[in-house]
Amino acid sequence: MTQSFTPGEFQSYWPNALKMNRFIAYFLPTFIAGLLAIGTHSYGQDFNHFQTLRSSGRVPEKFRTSSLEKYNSDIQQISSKEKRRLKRLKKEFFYESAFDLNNLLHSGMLVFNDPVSIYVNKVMDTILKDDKPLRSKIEIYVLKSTSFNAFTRQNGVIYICVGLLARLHNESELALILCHELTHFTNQHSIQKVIENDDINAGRGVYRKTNEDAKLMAASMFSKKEESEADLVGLQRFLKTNYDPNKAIGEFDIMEYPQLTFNEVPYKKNYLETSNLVFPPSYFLKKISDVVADDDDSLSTHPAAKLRRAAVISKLQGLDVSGKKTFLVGENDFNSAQKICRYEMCDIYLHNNMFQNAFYTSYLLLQENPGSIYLKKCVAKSLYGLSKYKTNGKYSDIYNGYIDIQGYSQQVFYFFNEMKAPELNALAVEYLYNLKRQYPDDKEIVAITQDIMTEMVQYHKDKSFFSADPKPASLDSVLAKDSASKGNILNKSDKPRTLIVQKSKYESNSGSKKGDEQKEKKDDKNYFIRYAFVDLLTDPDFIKDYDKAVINYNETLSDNQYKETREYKKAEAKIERRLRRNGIALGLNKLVIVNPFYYKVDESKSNPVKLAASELAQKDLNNCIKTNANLAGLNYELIDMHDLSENSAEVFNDLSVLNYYSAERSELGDMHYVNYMTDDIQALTKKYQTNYFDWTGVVCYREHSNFRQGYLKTIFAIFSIFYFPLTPYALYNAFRTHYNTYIISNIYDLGTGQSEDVRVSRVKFKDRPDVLNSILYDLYLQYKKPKN
Amino acid sequence: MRKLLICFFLFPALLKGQVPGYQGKHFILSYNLDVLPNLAYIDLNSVSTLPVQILFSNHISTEYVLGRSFSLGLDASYSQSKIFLVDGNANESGDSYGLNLTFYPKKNNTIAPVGNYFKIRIFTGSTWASGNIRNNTFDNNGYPVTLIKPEQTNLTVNGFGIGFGNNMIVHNNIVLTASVNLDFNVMNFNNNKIPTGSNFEELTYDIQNHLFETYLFYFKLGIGGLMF
Repeated sequence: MTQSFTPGEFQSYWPNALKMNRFIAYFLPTFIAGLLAIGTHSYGQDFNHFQTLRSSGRVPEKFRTSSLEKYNSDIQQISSKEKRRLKRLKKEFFYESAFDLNNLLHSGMLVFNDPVSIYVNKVMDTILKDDKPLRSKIEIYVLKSTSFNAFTRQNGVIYICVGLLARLHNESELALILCHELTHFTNQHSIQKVIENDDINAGRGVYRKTNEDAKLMAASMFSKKEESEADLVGLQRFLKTNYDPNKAIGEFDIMEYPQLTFNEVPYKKNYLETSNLVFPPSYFLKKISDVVADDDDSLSTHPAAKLRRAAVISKLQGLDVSGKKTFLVGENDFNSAQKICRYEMCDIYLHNNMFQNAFYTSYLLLQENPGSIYLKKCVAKSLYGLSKYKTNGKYSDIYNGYIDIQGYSQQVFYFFNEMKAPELNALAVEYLYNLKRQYPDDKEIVAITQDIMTEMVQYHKDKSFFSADPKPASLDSVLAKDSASKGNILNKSDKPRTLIVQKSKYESNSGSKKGDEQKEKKDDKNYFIRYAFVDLLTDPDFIKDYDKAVINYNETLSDNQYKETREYKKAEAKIERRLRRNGIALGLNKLVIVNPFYYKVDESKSNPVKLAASELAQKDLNNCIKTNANLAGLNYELIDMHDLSENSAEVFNDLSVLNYYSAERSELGDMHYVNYMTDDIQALTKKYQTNYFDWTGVVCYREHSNFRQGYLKTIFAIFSIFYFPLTPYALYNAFRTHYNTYIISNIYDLGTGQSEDVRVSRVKFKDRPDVLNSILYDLYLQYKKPKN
Repeated sequence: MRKLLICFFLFPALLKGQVPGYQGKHFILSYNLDVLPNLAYIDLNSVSTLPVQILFSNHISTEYVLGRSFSLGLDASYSQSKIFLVDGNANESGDSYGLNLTFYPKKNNTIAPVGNYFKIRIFTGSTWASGNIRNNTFDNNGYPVTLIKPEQTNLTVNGFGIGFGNNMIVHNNIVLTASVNLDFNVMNFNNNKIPTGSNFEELTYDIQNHLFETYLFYFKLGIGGLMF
């Protein structure tokens, strides 16, 4: 499953990876950072209050150098004696690779000097204890991804996914994987792949007269050849170590079933049930689908796992493995690192909106550690996320059906899919409120509970819907009978892949069909969700919170009704006009400007984004921001991944949190959502002494001339012949290029989670410094101006 | 004029809106060179202008940014140009004083004084012309003699103009501007004398008229500084 990859491949991978792999960070005590900073480490995690992986200590040089510096360093490897085509290819490769690498390094998905990275680096030290020069070229970082994967760059950077370490059985397996990755580096597989792919695409040599399908196959074959080579050469290196090869081949078992999580435990129906809240048996599969190995590697970049295992085993025949060990760094170290990774996976799943996976992973870990508040919160957040997405008609964004899910987690996918939005909401409220009662001082739980209760009111405004009396004894038999009539045995041929039709929350709330169904359910005394709050309804606090939620809901409704009135619209228009004329006034005491970005785009080029120019312009933009914020008298702080110093690990962590926060916000759209990093975010607002964080940047876009422009230019040119004074302008108009520059500023109030101001100024000019200065100064003036 | 000046000074105080200017600076003092193609071809008896001539005018202007998308300015110009004739040449001198209102279109999203602008100008001015002309006369012996005869006349004009241009600011305080302008004369008063019929007077009168009475199409190139 491990692989090397070309920049192109990675470019297509990493935006998804960013979307899919966001992490949450909690409560890092400063003493851990201090210990790590002085070169020691501790795996002494309190797994009840788990703290997600954070970087610490000295910021590695790779994180601090610009893409252009990396590129200039890389191209030194190119020999002057090489053919021109190879030189070109390598230069292109190094160019893209340098920018890809920096994108990833600055995405916040990688961590350094964390307990897991330290452990993996120790394993690498053990492997390369006799090859110091090679060891000095290798840098290993942990990638916050749940996939069973590792990557190697041509410059010696290896990423190990959290999901890989979470699934491994022992240290020997990790060592074998690292040996495999080392071969990718030493044999420069990624460059070789680029050169070969160029031959394939151009139809050179043996690839002459091959059709497109054959080219695809050839590219796949070459990649598989490299992987096999990495396996075998890696194995040779591995055999020189003192690791036990027989214990290492278990990794191929995991590769064969990468769809399974680190542990397979049946999901118990009664896990979320109480004595009164009992789910219908029809919400559970009687039998989950069979687990099938993915053996088809025809178009894959990797050979099938069973073939790789067989190849490795054949090389191990007759070898003497006496004295070899499964663990060299230490079994405890491995277990600690793995446990951290497993706990980390819950967070990553949550940030990827993979709530079902987060729920099941937390469920698995809770079996071992039932008292962990961290895991309980993960369960609560999963329920909250599922309920929010279902209520807001966006469930299809986070769910693609349960048929393709393999393993016991399929039960979880099926269960949540079967639950109706009001049921899921009531379940989430029940779980969250009980958690809130358990941890009343946890602000995150309180905020989420409050939000989900407000949402519940739209389904059940009258709390009398819920029964305060215990569940009747007859309910179980009614539910069982009902389930038997529906049938819930998974049958692939009968049941197509389930897709939820997206409905808005208004549809689900007020649509006549839905309303009727709801009414029918309400009248039905056997409706199981009526008994969700039997215990809670005896709690005066719950009654009080319920009433408060009703009041909030009514206020929101009346606000929404007022917004429809002519009077409101008139007043809004007046405000809008005033804002256009005078600008806004936010009265910010301080603003934190986060990771300013700059993209220069040329529509006419095959690679529209001018990476080098963008990077250089980004540096100028930082200066521009500083100058104008100072001139405007704005109290600000600029934190930027591109501007890290050796001692900026804390800033790096802050930016990672903020990156994930902004990605989450942009995905949510207009859905109100309490973010998962409430504690972290609160820590940031406290640290920077402001709630206002600004994501700002510039995009300069060079347009292609369209027909209308060309037509006008011609008319103008003809006119200028008859009236010669216009000639200079006609010439200027004929040859000038059309640019659009977008200056974007998006301020979030991290206290409320709402966007305070979104500005996109489109200027019909090239990104001239005076234009940028002018607009940024104006923006900062408005941000500083006291509110009226 | 007095009312205009009052407006000019009171207007900023009346504005409620936030006026960012350029990094907080609102006042520009600049020097402009107006380049006027001599469009009219004057042909009076044997005295006519040579084709394609370019006249220059020196221009000092001020501009004060009053809003997010407009500014008000005053300007003064002085020009001295030589017009080459087939039978001599003429010196045309002039001055003008104007009041400018400059709009920076909102659709461009730029903030005054940066970017494209559209300018409206009202002005008042006067011009003098003098020159040498070869006049074909005969001496006492009946031989033809060419006399050089300087003459001059004076003309006062009022008018308005429009312009379209672009302001660019470099090094945060140097303003470069380029524009295309068109001035129209609404009223003109000949303060001195009505042409008596001599070739030269008629010629200078025509030159002045061509400059002020019909229209003035000119390019403006300027450099200035953001003062405060």
